[in-house]
Amino acid sequence: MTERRYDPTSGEWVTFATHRQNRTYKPKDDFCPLCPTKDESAPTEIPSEHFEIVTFDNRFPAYSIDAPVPDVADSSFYRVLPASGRCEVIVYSDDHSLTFADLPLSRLRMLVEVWIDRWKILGEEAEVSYVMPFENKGEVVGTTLSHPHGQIYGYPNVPPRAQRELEAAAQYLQDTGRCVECDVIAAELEGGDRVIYSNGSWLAWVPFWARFPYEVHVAPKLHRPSLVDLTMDERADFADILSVVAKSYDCLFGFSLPYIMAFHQRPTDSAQDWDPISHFHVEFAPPHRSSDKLKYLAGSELAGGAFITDVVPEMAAERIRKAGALIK
Amino acid sequence: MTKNPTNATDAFDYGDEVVVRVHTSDGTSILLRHVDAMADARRITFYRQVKVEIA
Repeated sequence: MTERRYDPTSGEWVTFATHRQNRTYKPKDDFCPLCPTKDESAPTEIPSEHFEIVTFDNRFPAYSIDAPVPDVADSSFYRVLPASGRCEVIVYSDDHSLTFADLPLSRLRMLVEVWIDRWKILGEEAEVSYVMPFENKGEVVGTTLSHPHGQIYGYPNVPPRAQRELEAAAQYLQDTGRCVECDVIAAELEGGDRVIYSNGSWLAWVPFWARFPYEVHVAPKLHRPSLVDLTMDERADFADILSVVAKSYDCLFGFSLPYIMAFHQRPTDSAQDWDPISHFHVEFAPPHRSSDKLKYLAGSELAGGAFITDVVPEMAAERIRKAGALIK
Repeated sequence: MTKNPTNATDAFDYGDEVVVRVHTSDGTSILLRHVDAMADARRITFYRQVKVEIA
């Protein structure tokens, strides 16, 4: 059963996907469903002996193009809709032992083009309003498959956090005539103490308001509403900066750091002109607050929506910069 | 088992589509995609990068 139910007390949609209770959970060590199929009697998800990058429809999708009619009746008060959309898995390599940080620059450059292609393809679906590539890395954020991979969700509506960002950006544009993300980037370049890396066209920094101790944002210095708007040089620089951030994280505490990485960009529907208020950026949210302690989202964060962060952003940035200096 | 062409000619014969041409410091390559169906009819897309030989 999948369906979306509307919460009139918060104005947000909640998706139900009960079949996901049966999704793959910690498969046996000797069988990875994301590895190439070497033996046809034991096929994985990918029917090829070798591959570079592969995307496929999730076996247990929260959203699908042929979403079933909801189980419960729709009403004017309790609104319910099919869970329409698209959920894809994107596998970065056929080498099971790698992580995102281990990928060579040439593969990351290719990955940028694949993300762009998927954004176009999923965004063209009538049921999809917002395309969000993301990666959950590490068991502490719920990942049970260590093979290097991410996911791409084509949501039927703009997800709440992205929606709030767009609304704040629209208000800022109305008040000042400028893009808020462009002004953030200008402020970080001027101050510098929260910057962890910069190349020709991109900036990586710990946000002034970081909600996670070692949160990092990555954005193009010029206003680009979505991945597809990047120039060829910017695409190459994007691959470079993602590599540096991921490698720096792995040098921070001396182990492969878990994180959630998510892309925020222009919605793919035509509800309004998104370009002036959408500035493409990537958010990394690692759950560690030290090498052996996690930040749990608890009462204040989950019940109140009020984040309390344990590390000052300027200190976090200094530590990540020092870690970056250790990259081999 | 899905075919896995390693050069542009074989890839085009196989029905791959060109996604984009990429110029890097070590040459030019094209990104190809091949859309297929999995055993249960789910969609799967293979992306391959192939070097372009400049005559």
